[in-house]
Amino acid sequence: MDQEISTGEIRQALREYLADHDSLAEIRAVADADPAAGMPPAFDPDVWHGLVADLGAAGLAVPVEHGGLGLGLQAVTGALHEAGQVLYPGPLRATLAAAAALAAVPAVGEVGGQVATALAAIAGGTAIAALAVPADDVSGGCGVSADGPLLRGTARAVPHGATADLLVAVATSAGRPALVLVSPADLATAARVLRAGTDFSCGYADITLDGVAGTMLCADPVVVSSVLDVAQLLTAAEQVGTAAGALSRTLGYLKVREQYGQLIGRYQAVQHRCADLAVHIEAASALVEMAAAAADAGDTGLLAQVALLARAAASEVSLSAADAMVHLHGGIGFTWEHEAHLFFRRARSAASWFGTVRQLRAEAARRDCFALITQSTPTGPLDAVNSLI
Amino acid sequence: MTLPAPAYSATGDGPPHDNGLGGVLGDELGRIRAVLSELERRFADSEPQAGPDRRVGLIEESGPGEPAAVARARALQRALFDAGLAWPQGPAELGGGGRSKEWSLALDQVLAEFRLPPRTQLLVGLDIVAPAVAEHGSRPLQERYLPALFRGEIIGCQLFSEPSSGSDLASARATARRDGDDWIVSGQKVWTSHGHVADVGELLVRTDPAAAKHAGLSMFLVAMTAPGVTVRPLRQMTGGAAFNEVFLDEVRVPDADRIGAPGSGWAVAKTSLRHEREAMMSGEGPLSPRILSLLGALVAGSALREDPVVGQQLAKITAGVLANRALAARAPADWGRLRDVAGSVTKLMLVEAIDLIGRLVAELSGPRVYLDEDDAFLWSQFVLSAPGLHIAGGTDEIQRNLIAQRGLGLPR
Repeated sequence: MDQEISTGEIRQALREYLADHDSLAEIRAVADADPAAGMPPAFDPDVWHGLVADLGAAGLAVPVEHGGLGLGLQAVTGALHEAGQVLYPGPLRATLAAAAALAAVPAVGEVGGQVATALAAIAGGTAIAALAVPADDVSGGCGVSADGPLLRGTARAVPHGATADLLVAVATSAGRPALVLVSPADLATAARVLRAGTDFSCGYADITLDGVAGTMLCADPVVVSSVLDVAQLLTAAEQVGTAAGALSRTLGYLKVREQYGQLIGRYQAVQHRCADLAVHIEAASALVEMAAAAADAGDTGLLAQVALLARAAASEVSLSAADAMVHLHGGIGFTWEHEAHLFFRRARSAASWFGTVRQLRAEAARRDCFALITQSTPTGPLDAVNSLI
Repeated sequence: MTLPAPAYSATGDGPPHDNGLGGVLGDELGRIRAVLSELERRFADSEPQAGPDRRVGLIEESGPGEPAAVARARALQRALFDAGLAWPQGPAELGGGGRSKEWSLALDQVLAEFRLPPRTQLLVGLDIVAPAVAEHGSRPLQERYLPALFRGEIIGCQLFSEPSSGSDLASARATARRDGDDWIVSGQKVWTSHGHVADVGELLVRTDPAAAKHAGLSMFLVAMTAPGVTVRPLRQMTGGAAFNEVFLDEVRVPDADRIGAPGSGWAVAKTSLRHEREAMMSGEGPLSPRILSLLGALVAGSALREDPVVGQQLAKITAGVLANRALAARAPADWGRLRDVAGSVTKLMLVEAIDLIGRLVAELSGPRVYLDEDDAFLWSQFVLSAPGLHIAGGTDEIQRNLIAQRGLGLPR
């Protein structure tokens, strides 16, 4: 490529597009829908189509030969930060995570052909993709067995499983996690049960693959593990965006709301709470950037350690930022009409999915993340830092 | 009280291989390693083998070994200067390297590979005073002081705080009145780290009592040996006494030693303070590779290293240190609205990590951390130093005020 598109340009394009297409209105449509009319779609398909067709968002990290932009995870995480900032409810993270998983698979033989077809469908906007990972653990399979000739089992609470056209799942094969692909034709035969989510915005579905044909993509534990790490990283990027969005909207209110004859943003207790959030947003953001740079440099070892730390930091700060958003708006922040509860719901929901803060940190410690800082000249992180400069 | 420095002790890790540094330092990496290796040999004999000097401290200390330590620091600084490694980002015409921030950060990493004596007593001059002179000083002032500071010929200290001006630094009362080509300075300064070994002080004084608070201040360089300057040591809660109170009684300071225009002292002070906060994340700061490698050894040798609660602590500490390193290396343009308060952000993250480490160390060592047996006593100074870092360079509360008001745009 002569002229690579910068992460800054990607972010700017998304920011402008999302500013013109109110994400919160899409979420409101779900939140305020009549329960008797059945589960409404989690997002506006026209807005999603624009993201894919006009901005190439679904194909950010899809190789150019399959119709994508061929960018790395630094661009992907940047885009997800923007999406998280406005609580965009469409299947951007789900699709990007599935695309990253497909792109990570060694593309040989028949598998290569299927992967190419799937990636082209994602980048071209003809397929929404979802990634089924274990919902409440940081490693292992999602509940689908790939031991027989056909896939069996249920992938529970798959984000955007409700509308996904193709599915990449971390199934179990011979007791170990393995990546499988369920094509649009096969996924059409699966039974889906939609799950209402507290955050209104992820289109969760239980997908039961009872004798559905699938393609075994890869059982290499290093690849499978990296795919999960990338899923953690993308979630973290979106969560940091959500935290930044919550803080930014809160700051706007603190600069106009008066009590005791002065702006409430002048009170030191209020200022310090915001300052602490800003510090921890930058910290989480730095970890996301470091993990993305490691992934783009092919350093899966560093990715495996830093992605979990990034996700833990992102979960924690998004919870704090959403708490602060409700609290600092006072009573109005506790109303249904106000947007604060949408941030609160998203933050709570996202931080509970695919590993809690405690689980993530425990796994990072088990992976000996501490060695990253105690070796007197840590190779990995500093390489990543250098590439960020 | 200002810049911390690592104790002169480390686990003996040999120099590693490329580590990706070649991408930044290029062909020079080999030459730099050869120079540092030679310096390591040259200074090896002077390494303290035992006793208080081996403890892991965060705040500068003084003691019987201080004159020798100062001489070592000066000698090392001179040798680094001669090898082009003392002032990488300085302008070439003044003896600096004319290098990028990236190059300088990479050099810090290479420096951390070698067991060199600490330059504790020089750091205030290098990291706090020099940037103010470089940014605000006249050309003759820069020529007179900057090369001398970076060659280790003169040691700088900071004369900002006063008994009644702590966090509210701009309320400084020390005065200077014009007398021909000189100024006559009187007042009292406090918390002056290394004032007792310094040759020159960066002095914040009120030159216009009629002007508004911030507009009435000016900055000077004052010779610490000038008549009327009295330095008295203050003992710290760590037991050491490396910071001082400084009395200024009708001290004559040439106008040529003014940094910046009269009335611009607050802008000069802000430059110094910003660099002070940012320098805390440098390779010689409290989270130096050496301190962290000692921490690694403590954890590796502990029966609690697989404990789940300890695991949570290790993950949090790792995340804090990694994030801080990445942010220290982040380009100013990438900070967005927090650009001017980047040092405040990293300083708050730093003290958070220091506190986490202090708790972990106490957890792993048990009562031995505060009893003089084995090596556990190494860490008592670390724990005792930590409160100082929450105060030095602007308290945590001041950093939060700065972030909220100058970064996030909340009203003053």
